[in-house]
Amino acid sequence: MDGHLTKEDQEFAAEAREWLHANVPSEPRPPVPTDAREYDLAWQRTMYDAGWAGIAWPSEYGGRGSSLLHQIIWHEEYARADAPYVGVCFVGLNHGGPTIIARGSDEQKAEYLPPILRGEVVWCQGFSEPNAGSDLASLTTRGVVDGDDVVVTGQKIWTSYGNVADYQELLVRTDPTAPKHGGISWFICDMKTRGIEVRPIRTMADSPDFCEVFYDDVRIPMANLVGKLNDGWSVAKSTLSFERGTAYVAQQIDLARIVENIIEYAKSHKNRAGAGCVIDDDEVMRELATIRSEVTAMRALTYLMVTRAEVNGEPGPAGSMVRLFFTQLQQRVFRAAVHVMGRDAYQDVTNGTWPFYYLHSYSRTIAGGTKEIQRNIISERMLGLPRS
Amino acid sequence: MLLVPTPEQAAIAESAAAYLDSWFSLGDLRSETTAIPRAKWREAGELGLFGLGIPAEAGGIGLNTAEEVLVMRALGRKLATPNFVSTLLAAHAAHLTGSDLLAAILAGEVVVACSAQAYPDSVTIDGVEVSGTVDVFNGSIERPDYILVTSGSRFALVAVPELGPPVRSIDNGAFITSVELGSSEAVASGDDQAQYLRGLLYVSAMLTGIAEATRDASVNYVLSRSQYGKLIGTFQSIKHRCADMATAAEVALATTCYASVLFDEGDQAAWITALSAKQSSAHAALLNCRENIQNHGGIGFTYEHDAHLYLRRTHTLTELFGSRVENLAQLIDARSPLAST
Repeated sequence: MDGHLTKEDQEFAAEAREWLHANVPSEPRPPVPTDAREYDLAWQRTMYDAGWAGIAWPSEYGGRGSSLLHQIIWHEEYARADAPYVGVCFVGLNHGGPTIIARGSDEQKAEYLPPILRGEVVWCQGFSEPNAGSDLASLTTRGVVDGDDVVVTGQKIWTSYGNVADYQELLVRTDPTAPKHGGISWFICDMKTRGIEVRPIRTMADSPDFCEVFYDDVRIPMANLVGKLNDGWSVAKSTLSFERGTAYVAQQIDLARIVENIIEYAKSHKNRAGAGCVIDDDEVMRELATIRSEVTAMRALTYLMVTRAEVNGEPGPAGSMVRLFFTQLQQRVFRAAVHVMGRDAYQDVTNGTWPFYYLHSYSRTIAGGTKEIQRNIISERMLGLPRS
Repeated sequence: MLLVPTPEQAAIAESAAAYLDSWFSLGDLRSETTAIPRAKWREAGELGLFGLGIPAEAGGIGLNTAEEVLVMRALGRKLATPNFVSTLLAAHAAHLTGSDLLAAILAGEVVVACSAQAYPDSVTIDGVEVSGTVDVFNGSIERPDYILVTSGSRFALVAVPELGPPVRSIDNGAFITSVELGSSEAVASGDDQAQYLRGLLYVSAMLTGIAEATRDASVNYVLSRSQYGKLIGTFQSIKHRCADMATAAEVALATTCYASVLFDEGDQAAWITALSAKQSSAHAALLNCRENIQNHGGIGFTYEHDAHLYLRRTHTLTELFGSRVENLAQLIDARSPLAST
């Protein structure tokens, strides 16, 4: 246990701060998905050109080849600079790419990783199905191997960025006779392939980019198989451990900044009930103090988890603890924001406002495995309790 | 930056736990008359427990707060007397002020009890003059030698005046006595928020230990108790409760460790992080103590079982260095006390 940041770490932080200060785009991220795609990719390209893409990714695929600690330092400086949300690049950078780094072949790494960092492609996830939610391994989208291709038929759902994506992490059942965890394979699916239809799904928050995807005899080259045939469940566990453990590091750090903004709001807005400011109410003050302490704890938990991921290569089941704590904390934070805003929260719920994030936060304890699934994983894989 | 203990750090914490096992087991608390054997306190001194974070040239071991915190966590797990917190802090108080008492504290010659409040209230510390009334938490049925009075950033080490009879508190191993200090002269006193911050860290570490111990007790029990023909640890309601306990303990551990490494680095964020460590560890300890009683069913409600002992100690420790409500107020009034030092 040692909190020392080396001179190199400090110089890295200073360099990142300086570059971000000079380069963060002044125009805000557009709310329309197709415009946002161009905006997000252009910003990713800008970071890539300056050597700031994929801090902890291997340098042979365009990354910086640095440590996860530097990745965190980067995210901290990124949040401090109020740099744009990662947006459509989320899946590729945070779990598609990391899965290929961990489980892909050399050819796949060379082909798919650099374009993610260069801001040329958007990735999405094809895991959940209408009848395979928490019981993900019961998925039935079929993949029949036919020569050099696998032919896919079925449906995926809850696919963020499906409407703007180029590639998808796709789980299909390639052996219907095997036990359910045994017959699944993990493919890279080109979203432009014939037979794919993407339809939007409207959400309670009116969040853009939410979709369902239909597959009708979609031919995917076998070269796109990641890991072994019928060993996709283990590859998916890697993907999910990234999704739960490290994918949200930037957002975890950014949450602290949001809490400070909420406190600032409560200090600068008059209390409707009487004299003074919103924060002068003891109940409000304690709610804000509690979330301030919790985002601080979140930061500590992120560091602990990253220390462990650095040692083990991926976050493992401990990522579920991070996920369980973080998603509920996000909900508490945006609930507090809405409490503090009072009636003003009902005026504007467009993308980017606190009330929008408040509504959106209801998805947090469902996506990436519900909080109940996270608790199952923690109790079974970390505490050694029996399967239910 | 490394948030997991090195093998050397883990070994130090293990040796502290082994030392405690040589004279104390938490079941002793059931007698409600636990005392600190003086010979064993001196043994702690010989082991260097009170001088872990005191520089070698001042007679200590010269390690960091990180090591102290890991030791406090190991002791907290076993419900060691809170006088470890106050005696360790007294060593720092004596060292900071250049007091002659340091050698005796490091040697385990003196037992120090704790009075720690967030805000100046009933006690005034003015130079070496200490006056007013304090509530003293003493983790022994016998009279301590000194009281470490902490009131916000001010602290004073005072020889114990006449103490009334120990009053049984909610914690059957910690006695709370209201002490009228009249106008006492402190053997050491000062004004340094780092002392208060250390107190927060030691208490957080003990609370984290309790959160971990009760998590482990529950996991062990639900893997051994059967109902309806299966282990109760098979039932999702129990599993999910255990998962929440594990997560709360992990958050407490991470925050306490992170706060201690920030403190050792002199980082401005140490203050808010230490307050957050106290919040998260007090939350985790209380949650886990509560759920641990529930997980044990009827047996968990008996005096014979250990479950209530953890709960009682959690309440005592949570009151030290500010109650929950006082710590929340400090979190919002976030001026860093390290800024002035």
